[in-house]
Amino acid sequence: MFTLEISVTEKCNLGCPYCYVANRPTFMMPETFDNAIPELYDLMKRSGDTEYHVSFFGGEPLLNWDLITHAVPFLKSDRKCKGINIITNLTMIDEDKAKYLKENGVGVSWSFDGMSSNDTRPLLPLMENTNPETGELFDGILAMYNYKKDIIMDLTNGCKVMIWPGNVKDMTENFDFLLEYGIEHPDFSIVRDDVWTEADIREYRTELIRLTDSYIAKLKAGIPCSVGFLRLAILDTLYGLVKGKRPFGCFAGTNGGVLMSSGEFYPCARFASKKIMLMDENYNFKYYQDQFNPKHFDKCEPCDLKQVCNAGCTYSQIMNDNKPLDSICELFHITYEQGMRVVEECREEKVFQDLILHYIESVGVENEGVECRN
Amino acid sequence: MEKKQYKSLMAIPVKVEMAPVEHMSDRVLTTEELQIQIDEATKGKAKVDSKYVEYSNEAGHLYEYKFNYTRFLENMSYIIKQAKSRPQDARYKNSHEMIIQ
Repeated sequence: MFTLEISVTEKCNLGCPYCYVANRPTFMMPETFDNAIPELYDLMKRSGDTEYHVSFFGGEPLLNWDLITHAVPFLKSDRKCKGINIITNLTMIDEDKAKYLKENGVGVSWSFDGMSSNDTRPLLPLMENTNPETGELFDGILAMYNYKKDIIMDLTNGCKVMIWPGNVKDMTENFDFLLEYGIEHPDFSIVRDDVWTEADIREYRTELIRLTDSYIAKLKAGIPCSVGFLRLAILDTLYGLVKGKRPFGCFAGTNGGVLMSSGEFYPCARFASKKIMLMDENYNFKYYQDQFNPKHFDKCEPCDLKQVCNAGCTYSQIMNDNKPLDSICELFHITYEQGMRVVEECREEKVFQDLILHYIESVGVENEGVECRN
Repeated sequence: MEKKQYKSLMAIPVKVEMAPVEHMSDRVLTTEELQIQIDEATKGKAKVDSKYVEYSNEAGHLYEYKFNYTRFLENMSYIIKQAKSRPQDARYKNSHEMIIQ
């Protein structure tokens, strides 16, 4: 399955400090999308895929709603397209947009950092960030989300929380906040392999142990919930040991790419932000599929996670002489260790047993690891 | 006090000139197949690469990590069996779909 991200704009109404996208006022035109489809088919053919899945991406994709409503009818009619998703901060969602997304089967992947959002996502003085009833700026992003809570929770029951050195200290409180909000399974993900110092990594370990303690206590109290990167560590370990890990770290450049508002394809938006690895007629999928296969890194040969870990972000590897970064190696060790601790300490908890079975039945093997907002 | 008029991002002109532009995955395992493979993996044979089970860490790391894969597989096997032993309608129901990064 070819993973296609469509960056309908690089502009975003929030300014998350960890985001690598340039936040430039570029907006994809309908004709750019139309003209890109033959090139998409050609890329799919060269990557060995016959079907694709689309994620609208940005910037904030709701800022280019016209493009989305232009593209969705085509995507729904295209037999090669097997799914449509939008990765959005949902600050600009309203009833009409929500209705359109639901009626057209567009899945919503919500970028929401929880209680740390007021610090990490300061509101810019823009119309998009105002309360439509008062015309005044919302008093922080949490106020905005509370105002739209009914619409949002009707669209999705999950969210993606980016973990970076700036919000590590609040991981436990953030998880509590999200549970209170009604999100039982927040998808915590480590963002950016290349921004972690040794002190950050040590703090991450301290805080992850605290978060894991809190999570185990909740499971033992019978509360159904999960933390994204612990859930993933458990499943990656299981499948890695019994079946062998997947032959790619993420879709970027191996079985997927991003269509930028300029009409150019890149392996992912992170590559596009630096305008490197343009996927033109010279782009060689086989090289990427071989070179960045997590099974093939010499550096990983002596590692005790070799069988289960997927070695982090391809962009970071390319910037690091085609090797996984030491920082991501350490972060993964810490995360996998805590994931296995959850399994050891919660093996008798019914709610945990049911959750594990549910995830195994719903994820299978084929759907592993294709989405990245690193 | 007069209300401030905020501009939309959409109203801000595009200043950047853009140049004109003329899996491989295997089939899904069933939980039953997975169960068999876990049992085989625990014994260190069949489809698992047994040299990595209980493989000791030789890389230099900030911490000394302990990964007891054999114990992990035993735990997972037990967890799956326990959950499957309960009738479906007695299990925790969840509409959350996996989106893995």
